[in-house]
Amino acid sequence: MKRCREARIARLRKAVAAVALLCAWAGAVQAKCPLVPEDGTVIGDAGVPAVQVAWRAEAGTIAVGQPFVMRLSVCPVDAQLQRVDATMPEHRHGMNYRPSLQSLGDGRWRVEGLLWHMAGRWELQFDVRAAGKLHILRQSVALP
Amino acid sequence: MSRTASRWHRSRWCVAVAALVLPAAWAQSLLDFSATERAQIAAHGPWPPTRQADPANRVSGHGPAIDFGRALFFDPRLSADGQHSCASCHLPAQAFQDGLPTAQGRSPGQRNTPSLLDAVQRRWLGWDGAHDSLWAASLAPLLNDSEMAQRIDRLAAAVRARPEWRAAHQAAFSQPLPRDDEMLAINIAKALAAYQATLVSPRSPFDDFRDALVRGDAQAAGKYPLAAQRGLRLFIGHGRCSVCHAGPAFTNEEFADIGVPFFVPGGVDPGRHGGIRKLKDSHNNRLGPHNDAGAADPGAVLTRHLVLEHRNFGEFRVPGLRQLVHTAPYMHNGSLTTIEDVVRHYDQLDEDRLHADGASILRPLALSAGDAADLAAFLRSLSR
Repeated sequence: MKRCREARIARLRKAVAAVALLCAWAGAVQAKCPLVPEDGTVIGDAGVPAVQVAWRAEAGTIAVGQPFVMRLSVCPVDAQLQRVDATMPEHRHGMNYRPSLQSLGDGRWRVEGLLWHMAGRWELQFDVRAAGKLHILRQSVALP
Repeated sequence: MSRTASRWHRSRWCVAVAALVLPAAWAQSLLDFSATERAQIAAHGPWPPTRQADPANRVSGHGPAIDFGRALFFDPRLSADGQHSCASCHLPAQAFQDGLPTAQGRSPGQRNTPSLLDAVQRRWLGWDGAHDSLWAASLAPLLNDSEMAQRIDRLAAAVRARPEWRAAHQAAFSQPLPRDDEMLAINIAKALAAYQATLVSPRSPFDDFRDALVRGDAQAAGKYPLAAQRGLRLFIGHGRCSVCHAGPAFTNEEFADIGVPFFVPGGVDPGRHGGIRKLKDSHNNRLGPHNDAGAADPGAVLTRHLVLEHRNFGEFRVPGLRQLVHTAPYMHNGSLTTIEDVVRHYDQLDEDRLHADGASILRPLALSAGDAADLAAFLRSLSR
């Protein structure tokens, strides 16, 4: 009887620990506003509400002609990322691919299907809808 | 002083003088590449790349499949008339192309036969990129009326009729011939692809130079001819060639319009525009049922995200430049006979032919005769 109760307590402790771990993990990965450089390259606008995007290449670097995945955090966390695109303004052409967006929840996104096929200046564009308003955030990136 | 001692002293002086003079000579034989240039040069290697199996082809890298594919590649019985093998147009002695301006299979084609060297690295295959795997690209010429003119059922029957091919299939796929003709044809294409994946360009003088530069070995780097070094500087600098001819294979694996006419007898060659349409319509692309990796294939990501745009019209593959000396004539229509012709094409580029809306990526290089010769020397150094 006593042994059975101890086993139940041990199982309960394990469950509590697992839940605590999960909560800690969720807290760690949730986008915290405002975004900071540790979240990635941060860009934003001063509209109402203020919108921020922090992005980074999943593999750490972007290479000419190589597909890459982008990880994003968006603030506010309930803002919707609607489009990610990139163009070479000097050459007036974009990518040969249309990226797809996947919400990971809590303001975090995964973007797949990006490929920059030339060295030079690329302009990234993020379309974000927040509080019913479309915000277009742009950033210039030099690809060596 | 004995004679021996005198000799010893003389030779010691020689060594000392050489130690002073030789570094200066090496320095003279190596251009003063900047840190940026060195980084650009380093990005064109290392070579050869690490071999990776194609997840879309379960027998990729598998010895018995490579053997089966090699046997099939050189066997004309694979064609409808028993007269044409893959090697009829992709000759091993000519870097696995045919040396002709345009392909001459059962009937004349409209495009230059591409080399199969390094084909396994290609993201898109064919001048129009109509295929996204080496096995799909291997099936197409088998069934093309101008090439081997097979039909799926006849191809399957030809394989079933030959005991040695049945045995080779068993060894390659660890299963007897599939009853379904299409499945059998796909397996034949995958065995052919397994063999072609072994065809890799050898290391070139450029690779020796690049590696020496990366490890800081000025003496070894200095052995690379100065003309090639000057040409390399043009290639990554003024010429902006490396904007598209990037990376170890000297291609960004994409498509471009470089002002080579796309008119063909009876019409125009739509190039990439037609290639994307064919690829998306194909049952045999990486999104189709014959991809052995299914949805998990990382190579399928770009097929899934590829978009058709008007500007793709008249674009053709940016070819790799390795073994260039052995792959003449050049361009999608084989219209340029020599490497010097290619340099001249870029030197005197007709900008009106380019469909650039913005600032031209390409512009006439206006090279001096010496610069043109240097650029050609560099391009030659990509071959062994």
